[in-house]
Amino acid sequence: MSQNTRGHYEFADLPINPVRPGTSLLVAGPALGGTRELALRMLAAGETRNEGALFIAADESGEELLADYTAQGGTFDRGRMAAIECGGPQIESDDQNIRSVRSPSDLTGIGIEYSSLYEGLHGEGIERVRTGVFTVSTLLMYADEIQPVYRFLHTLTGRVRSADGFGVCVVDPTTQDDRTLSSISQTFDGRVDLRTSGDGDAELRVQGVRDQPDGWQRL
Amino acid sequence: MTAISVLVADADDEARGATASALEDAGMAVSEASAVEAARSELDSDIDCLVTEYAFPDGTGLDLLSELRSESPDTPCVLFTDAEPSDIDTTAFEDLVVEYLRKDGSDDRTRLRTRVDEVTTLRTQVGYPLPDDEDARLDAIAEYDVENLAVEETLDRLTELAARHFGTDRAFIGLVHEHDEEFVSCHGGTLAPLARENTMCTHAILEPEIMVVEDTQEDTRFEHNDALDRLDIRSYVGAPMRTEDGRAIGSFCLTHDEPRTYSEADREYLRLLADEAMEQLRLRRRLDDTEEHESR
Repeated sequence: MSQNTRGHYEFADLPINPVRPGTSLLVAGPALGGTRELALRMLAAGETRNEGALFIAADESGEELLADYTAQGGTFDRGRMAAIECGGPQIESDDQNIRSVRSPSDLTGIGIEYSSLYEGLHGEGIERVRTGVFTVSTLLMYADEIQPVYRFLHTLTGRVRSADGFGVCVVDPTTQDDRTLSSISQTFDGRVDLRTSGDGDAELRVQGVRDQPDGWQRL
Repeated sequence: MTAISVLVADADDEARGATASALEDAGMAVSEASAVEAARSELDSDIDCLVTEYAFPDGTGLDLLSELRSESPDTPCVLFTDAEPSDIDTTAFEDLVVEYLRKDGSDDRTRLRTRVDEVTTLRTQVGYPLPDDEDARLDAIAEYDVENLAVEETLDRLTELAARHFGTDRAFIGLVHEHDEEFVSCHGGTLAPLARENTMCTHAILEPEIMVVEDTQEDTRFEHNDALDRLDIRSYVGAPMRTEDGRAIGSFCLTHDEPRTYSEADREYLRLLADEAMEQLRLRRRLDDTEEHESR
């Protein structure tokens, strides 16, 4: 029997079936293998339903990330989208939709801005919000210890869950050992892996969430 | 279930009173403090959540949380404040991670109630991965009242056998509770309970089989863990101990002060010891249940 997927978050033409509200996914793939682009497309797919979006840019400026988003077919709508960049005040803009924290190591600061922006969107009556984190690898690289990264990811996925949102966090498996990656995955409802097949095609596989295609799917 | 206990710290008497009443109305047990210094003395009592303003005459809410976390790393915090995010100086507190909720005079205290409930019941500020079946797992541990099971000598024999067989510094059996790990038997020195975010068994109970860390310095999860340095732990192997329902209540572990490897045969041997320890717990519990039944 097929599930009633009304109200689920949809992914346009990507080979990912709709997921129930509150779901957070870890998207794992090599930095230069289209992983970031995939995650951005997963966020942009919300635009057809006028969903909100929050971007956390840890490894580049907010403006750069939003340019990447536009390149994947997204349109940064200031009425229902905002970004947090982590490069410090030197790149701080006057843009109210782009907030700055000092460094990717400032997980407390990122968390505070994130809560604040999320509340702000809810206050505007935007009930459906997609969150993207670019990238968990950067957060791990900057953090002195791993415990605060778990704390941060729990907080973020917890918010997504309780607010019936959708979250996608990018990680590069080549920069983390398998054990750390598997341990980080535990914080998420499921995981999307991305690879390039022998024929040079990009393929993805969804694990851990219900009613998804089996095995590797051509992108 | 006991009420969620919350410490509300706010220098503004009126605001603090309103926050406290809102949380009490939701069935929470509330204590109050009007300054960082006063709140400090409340931190000793077991609180489940800290709700604090940011600015105080004698410090900030983050100063307070920092102290709380050093004693009790799992305790969540909601910064319930008049301050804008840009007014909050996180420079010395990058690792704390808090919930932030602005006092805006609307239904903010209703939202605060929901937030406090979420951070405590969903454990959204803990610094380690949680098993999917965490609630059921904790229920399972509660069924094994190990202290009163008179099983200590049996477990001590098993950990001694393990340490002798493997020639490691330590062999121990740890139960992974909600916030810390309790070492019910340890050969090679006693171990005081350790915060869950610092123990390796926290990770071992997530493994389907056995977790081997040949060198803690080569593993991102543990390389910066000071608690392990203090205990001279450089390598680790742990076999989860599961109930009949498959709940991992703890693990049977070995630690050593140097990197080392464990062969397939070693792992099988440890698996046998872990199964035997679990079987002992199960039998003692059954015995205990029977005695209790007969004495009625």
